[in-house]
Amino acid sequence: MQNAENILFTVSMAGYFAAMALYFLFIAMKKEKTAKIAGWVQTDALLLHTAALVLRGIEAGRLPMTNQYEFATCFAWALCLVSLIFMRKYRFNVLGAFAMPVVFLMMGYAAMQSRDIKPLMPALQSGWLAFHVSTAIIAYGAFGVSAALGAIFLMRGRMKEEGFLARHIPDADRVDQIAYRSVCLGFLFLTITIITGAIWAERAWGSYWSWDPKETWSLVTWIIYAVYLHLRLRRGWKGKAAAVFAVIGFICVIFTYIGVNTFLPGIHSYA
Amino acid sequence: MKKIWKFLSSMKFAVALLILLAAACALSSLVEQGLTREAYAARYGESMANVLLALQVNDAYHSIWFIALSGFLCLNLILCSVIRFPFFLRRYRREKTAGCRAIGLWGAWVCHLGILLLIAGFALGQMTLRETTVWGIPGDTRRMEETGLDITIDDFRTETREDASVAQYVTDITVTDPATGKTEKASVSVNWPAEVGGFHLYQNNTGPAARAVVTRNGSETQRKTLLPQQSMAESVLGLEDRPEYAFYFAGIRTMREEGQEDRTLYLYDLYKNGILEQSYYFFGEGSVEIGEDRITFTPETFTLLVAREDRFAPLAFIGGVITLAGLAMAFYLQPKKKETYHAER
Repeated sequence: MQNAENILFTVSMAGYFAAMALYFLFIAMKKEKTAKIAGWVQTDALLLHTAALVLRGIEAGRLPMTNQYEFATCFAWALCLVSLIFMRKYRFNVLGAFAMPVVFLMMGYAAMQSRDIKPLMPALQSGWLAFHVSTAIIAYGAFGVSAALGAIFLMRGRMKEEGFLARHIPDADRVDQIAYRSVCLGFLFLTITIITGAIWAERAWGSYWSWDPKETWSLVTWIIYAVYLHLRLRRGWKGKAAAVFAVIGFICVIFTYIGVNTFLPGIHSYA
Repeated sequence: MKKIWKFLSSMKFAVALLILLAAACALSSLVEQGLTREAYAARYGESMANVLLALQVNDAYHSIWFIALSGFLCLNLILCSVIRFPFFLRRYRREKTAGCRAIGLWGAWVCHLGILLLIAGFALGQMTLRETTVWGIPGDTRRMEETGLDITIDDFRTETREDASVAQYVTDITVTDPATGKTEKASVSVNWPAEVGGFHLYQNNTGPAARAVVTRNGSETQRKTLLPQQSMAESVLGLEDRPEYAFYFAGIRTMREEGQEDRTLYLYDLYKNGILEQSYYFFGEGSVEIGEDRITFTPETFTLLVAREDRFAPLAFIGGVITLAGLAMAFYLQPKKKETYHAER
């Protein structure tokens, strides 16, 4: 079964790459049909990726969210799913050209990790695992999309209003608003992640908050987005500054996920 | 004075505090907490170690400046919640009268209240936290400090799967109240704490230990559980009838010989009048004779249970749930027509 999972993972990764290339072609060649094909490829790759995750879950006898490989592949899956939802909802194909490189990179990071299915250590044997990790995956996916939208906003400012791309990107206010909604979704889910993590930590380690580097950086990320929301809602802070902030916030998310595990070991060493 | 209150309740002040707190957390996470001065000096050099200690970065999250930042954030939350309450109420009534879904207008206010409760619960919990540890091997009875209860470790087992991976650590205990003689049995494992005397008892650690039994003419005269390379109380066996002698449990080593399974070597040092007299190495159980005393060392596995009582954890939890509810209200239950606080002011 692991062979089938490996094949599905590799094919979906190739699919994501193809979708990314097609989105780039859509921008370069200015052909709308290319974007349509890219959307189909992305959807198919996502379905194959989902099948790979399901197979892994069946083989492991648990949700596949417990080590670096599994979290990275789920992160890529969520980012792809959230971007697809936003693209369909807002008819916004250019988003794919910005989200898919991050999805592909995350799949590449996953591919570099060990894919061995190992039994869960005692601390991870908890019903809270599913809530804590799945909400983190959705939060990270939503923040990824907001960063992609931030980048689109920044790029849009340099475009001619009459160009092909400008026609395929909603106006600046709309992009800004969609990015804000994406941050709201991510912020809500990050809050659930932190709360469920605290409840679980209390049962597993005896303390719901230990200032472990992963906890601390989750709080830092939460604060950064809290500042974004305050400035936006109360000060009318929109546009370029908000877009830059969304990108910075996502850099912080990536550091919380990869950087902390690499540079700041703690009790979250498995995630 | 009015200006000061206005500033303390302002969003500008809140954002500045949040940025400072985020920076403080980020920087403090880069410096390992709770090390000795010597350890910091070895890592960062003498002068840097002095700076870190002077700024309390070695214990950043309990430092005066961090507590002050958190305190100011709480003050800001209280002030802005109180000052903005009439505004929220007025707006809510107006929207409600206009037939709009107005509950979402309370979202930000509810969220701030939740954060305030969360910080208060955490701070009060830290201030009143009672924590102690109980460790030992099966058969040991220890007094659990703070409660006066005796904990007897009936059994400790490491449950393994077919592939030899650890499935669970389980400690079975008997809790005795010496005052009443009442006993109660409980089981503690990872993710499944037990409740004892108002404390939550958590399975925290395990590792090698040794049981030392002193016999004279076949009768047991002394017994102690030793932990390797710990303090005097935990790793030294002083012979009661021969005070000049003491055994120190110096640790374990894994011996690897080609084609053979790993074997664990237990190391004990014998001191006479504080001077190392001899070292002993045993694979498994071993004995040493000093005069008519025979000291037998048996390898064991210790279990460490952490007992904590945090009476304010439920408050922090309630704060977290309220924060979440506030966010959901603020993001997804807003009335269609929006208006800002500043616009009305």
